[in-house]
Amino acid sequence: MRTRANMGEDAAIAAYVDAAAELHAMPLAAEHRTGVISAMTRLAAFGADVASIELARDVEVAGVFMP
Amino acid sequence: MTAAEIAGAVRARTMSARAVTVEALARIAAHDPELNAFTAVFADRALARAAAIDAAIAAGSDPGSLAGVPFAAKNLFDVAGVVTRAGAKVTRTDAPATHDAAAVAALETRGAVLVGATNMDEFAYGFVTENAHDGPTHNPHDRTRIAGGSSGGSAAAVAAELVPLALASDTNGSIRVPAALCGIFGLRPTFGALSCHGAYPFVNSIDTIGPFARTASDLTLAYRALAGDGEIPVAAAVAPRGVRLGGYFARGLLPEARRAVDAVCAALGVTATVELEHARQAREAAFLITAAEAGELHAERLRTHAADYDPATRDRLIAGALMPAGWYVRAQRFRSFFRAEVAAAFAQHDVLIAAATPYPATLIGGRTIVIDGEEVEIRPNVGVFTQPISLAGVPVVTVPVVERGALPLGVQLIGRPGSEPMLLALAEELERSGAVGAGAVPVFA
Repeated sequence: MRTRANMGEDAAIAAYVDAAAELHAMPLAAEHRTGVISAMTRLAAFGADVASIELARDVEVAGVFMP
Repeated sequence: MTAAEIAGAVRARTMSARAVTVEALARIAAHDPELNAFTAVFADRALARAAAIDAAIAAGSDPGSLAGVPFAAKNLFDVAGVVTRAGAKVTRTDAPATHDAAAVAALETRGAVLVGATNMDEFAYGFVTENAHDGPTHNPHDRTRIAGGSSGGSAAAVAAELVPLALASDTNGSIRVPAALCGIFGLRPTFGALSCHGAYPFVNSIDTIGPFARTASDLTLAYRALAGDGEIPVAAAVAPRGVRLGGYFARGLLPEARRAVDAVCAALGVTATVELEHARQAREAAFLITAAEAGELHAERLRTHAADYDPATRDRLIAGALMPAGWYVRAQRFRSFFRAEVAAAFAQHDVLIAAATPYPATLIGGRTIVIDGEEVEIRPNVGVFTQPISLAGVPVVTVPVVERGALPLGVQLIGRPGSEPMLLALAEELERSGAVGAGAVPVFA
């Protein structure tokens, strides 16, 4: 549901994408920008949900094993 | 013929590797235009390889357990002298590979014959194999439908019996999803168990490679060849303790997908259910890790060639490249937490059972599907049951369940790290019982 609150969040994500693209020297064509913002919005929602799980301080990043 | 039958006949000299190869090439020429499973056919290389095998046998040598068996490889595997496409346009000016990928070499060392490279989602970032550059791969069971992805070309080639074996990769479900939708067997091995050397990377910390086959015993044969014959312990003859995954894995799927799990559980006498409490967040963490690692990998090319990427891939890669590092690190820490949760589930069970996909193959070009009265996007949701398992790094054999007259579906048999022999033995047992098995392909029946 569209609310004033999540419309504000969308604007914040769009502003973040624009700023991060400039910082990373990543050209953002006008026809790509909407899709990138949409993808970032999904990542933000997932990031928030994962962050909602409380982790003990000693939980380290998963080790990567290469054969 | 199965891979085992072909290898047996070639080793016994009742059939030549050349004759098998010629037949495979003829089937590809006749039927692939309807499927678009292959993006390249290596006829000269395959015939030369077959001739070498026949010569070795004539000289009294044994070429190995896969003697004369034709196979295909997803086009992200390096093939010496060929540009590694990885489903992309931007790779086509890359230098040709100088060596075969480790998996290709492992199969050929045991006598197999590479006949071609197969279609995939661009850079393996998808579940549908509707490739913007090479076109969609059509499901052999219904050519109006997707083959699944990202290894859709390899799965369709095996399902249509163009080849008995094919190589694929699985990061978030790219073996398990197309195996399910095309009605064949697929193995995602324990993370790190098989070398990804020479396979174009997607998400280094989650990527695996593995085989497809139409029979469980052929899948075992391929796995043994990939892992090194003789190094795989035989599965213990003790009946594994199975349990069905409930909660997250019991929601958001069509009745036919639920029935497929019912059938496998019934065949195994499984009645108990267990939940992985944080499966939803595990899927989300896999999503975040995927975006971040793949985005970083492609950032340089995206700065200069974004317009040459598949639009379905490009926007997600750019977002991943720009994603805050904290989300990625948190996802990797959560991964440790979730691995412990999965390990706890294995304290009392040997096999976790879940649907591979929430629905059968959807129409090519389809965008949404209604499940439990809710309209959901097809593309991101196909892998909803495979992604959480990827995060745990455990092995999975996907077994096909085909109801008469219906599209195929798949069920995941999930084991502890290193339990591939047990999972493969279980798949063979299920196949012998008739509970699972690749169905006939109407197109070519």
